Amino acid sequence: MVRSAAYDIGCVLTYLVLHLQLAILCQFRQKNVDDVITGDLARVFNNLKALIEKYLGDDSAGTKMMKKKIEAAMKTLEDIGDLKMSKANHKKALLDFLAILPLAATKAATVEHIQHGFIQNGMIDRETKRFPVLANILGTFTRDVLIKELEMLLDAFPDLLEQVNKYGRIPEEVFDHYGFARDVTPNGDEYSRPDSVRQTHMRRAEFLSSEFQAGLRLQDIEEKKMAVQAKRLKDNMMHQQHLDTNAAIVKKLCDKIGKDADESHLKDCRLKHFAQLNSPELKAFIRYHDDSLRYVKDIPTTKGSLEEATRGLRNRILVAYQCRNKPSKLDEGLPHNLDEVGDDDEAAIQLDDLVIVHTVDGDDDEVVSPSELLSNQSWIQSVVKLFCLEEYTPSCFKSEAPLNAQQKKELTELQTKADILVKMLRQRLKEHVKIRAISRRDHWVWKLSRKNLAVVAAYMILAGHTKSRIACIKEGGSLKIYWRCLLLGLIQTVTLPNLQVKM
Amino acid sequence: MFAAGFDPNCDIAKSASEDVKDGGILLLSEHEKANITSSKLDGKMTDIEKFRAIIAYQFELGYDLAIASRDNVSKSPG
Repeated sequence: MVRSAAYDIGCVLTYLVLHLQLAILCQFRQKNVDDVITGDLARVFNNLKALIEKYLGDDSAGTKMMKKKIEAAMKTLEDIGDLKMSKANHKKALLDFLAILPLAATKAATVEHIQHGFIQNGMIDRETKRFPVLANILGTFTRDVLIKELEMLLDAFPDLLEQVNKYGRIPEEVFDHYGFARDVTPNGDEYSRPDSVRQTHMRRAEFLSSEFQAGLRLQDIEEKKMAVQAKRLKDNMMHQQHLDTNAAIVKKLCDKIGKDADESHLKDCRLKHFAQLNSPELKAFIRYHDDSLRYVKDIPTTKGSLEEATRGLRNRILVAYQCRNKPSKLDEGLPHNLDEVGDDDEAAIQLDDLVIVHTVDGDDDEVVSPSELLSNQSWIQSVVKLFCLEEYTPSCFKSEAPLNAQQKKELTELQTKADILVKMLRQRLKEHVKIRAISRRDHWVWKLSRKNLAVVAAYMILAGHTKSRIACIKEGGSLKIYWRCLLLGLIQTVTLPNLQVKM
Repeated sequence: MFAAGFDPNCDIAKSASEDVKDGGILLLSEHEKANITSSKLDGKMTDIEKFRAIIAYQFELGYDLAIASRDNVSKSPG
């Protein structure tokens, strides 16, 4: 599985370099990768199905025209014996379908709908739609990925990427060399994906692997590296130009007061000295020294006169004079060090910059766990009072005196239980959203609900609604146990009298 | 059967629109608060009523998810 992650990222990065069209890759992955099928996650096929149902029977002029042409073509094929439809209704159904297919397919296969599948499985990120998201790719695995596997993947990544670039694929021996676990079949049997061209089934995705194509790919990468290098060189030149301009202006001002060229001497400059600079020099000085300046357009448009500046009228002379004591904003160093960037560093930069490694959706919101809520006396008191839970709440949450050893133990157990409970609830919510909320999975309300399951879990503990042995479900445990526990339910069936229901 | 409810006129219920760290019950970011107040729930609800409705929905969803599927008459939690 981790092999697949390495492969997915490598494929995507190479794909970015090659500028392959999304639709082509979508089709490509569908055929070759069984772990993460972009086509299944894309909105194209679901939408196409719905649109075909919508447009079937459409009798607009365009559809009629299309139908006539297809009918004529079918008749020609029938006449020469290339098409044999035994039943008239089959032919009519095919004709109806083909007549509206272009219309439906055009609306279904939009760029956004295709991108959706790639975003969902982590092939590209949501914001820039350019970079693979490692966490999302790992999130498609059916088993948990160990931290050491993730570290191994990141360490080996530059070499794996190079393999993809050079050969169009990563041979199994390379994965074996790094110690990646072999993939397994749905039955749990180890499976070695063949490299042979004789077999197309269960092969890894690969790019064009002929020497000629690999050469073109490497050439393209080299050209892009050179373009980056040229841009860095240009950035450095521009920066040096700004530094030189600033130094020239400072020297000019210092000359006027008879001192050495140093920014610390600018405090002795007067308005009249600034008035002797020309307008572009004043603009540049303001740009380099005014730390409150947000946009260049905020610089006064005219130089103005010394008299106006003396009267306090805001012109370039006055603004430049006012910021003479502020140090230059320009960094003395150049933005890029062109000498020390070696191949290894470039590989590291590629990985750091291009592979987005972040936590899965919602993790940021899950910083407050139920156990934390159950450690928050203020929150506990509010909930107990609001929901009238005084008689159900365990004593360890109510005691104002320091807890004894037994109460401390009970508190720890209940807090742990709450954390386990919320994990299970979130897992069930994930399944629910996946199955039931097909069209609005990204709605903010799901994020809110997911986050606040911590509140509900903590409430269940306070209300004593949980079963005593929910901790039987452990990470890494068998799915059978997991699903059995799901069926058993996590909470007891109880009746709560004396509660006001006034919503 | 499960039941959970509160008096909407009590003092604590008035803090329904607050985040936990501000003395509220739910975990709410400013963005989520804005989403809730700008949402169109059934009827003409005031902002505070919308937050109470969200609390109700949240507990309904949580308990629906926690109940064993064979014991749950609802096939659509929340």
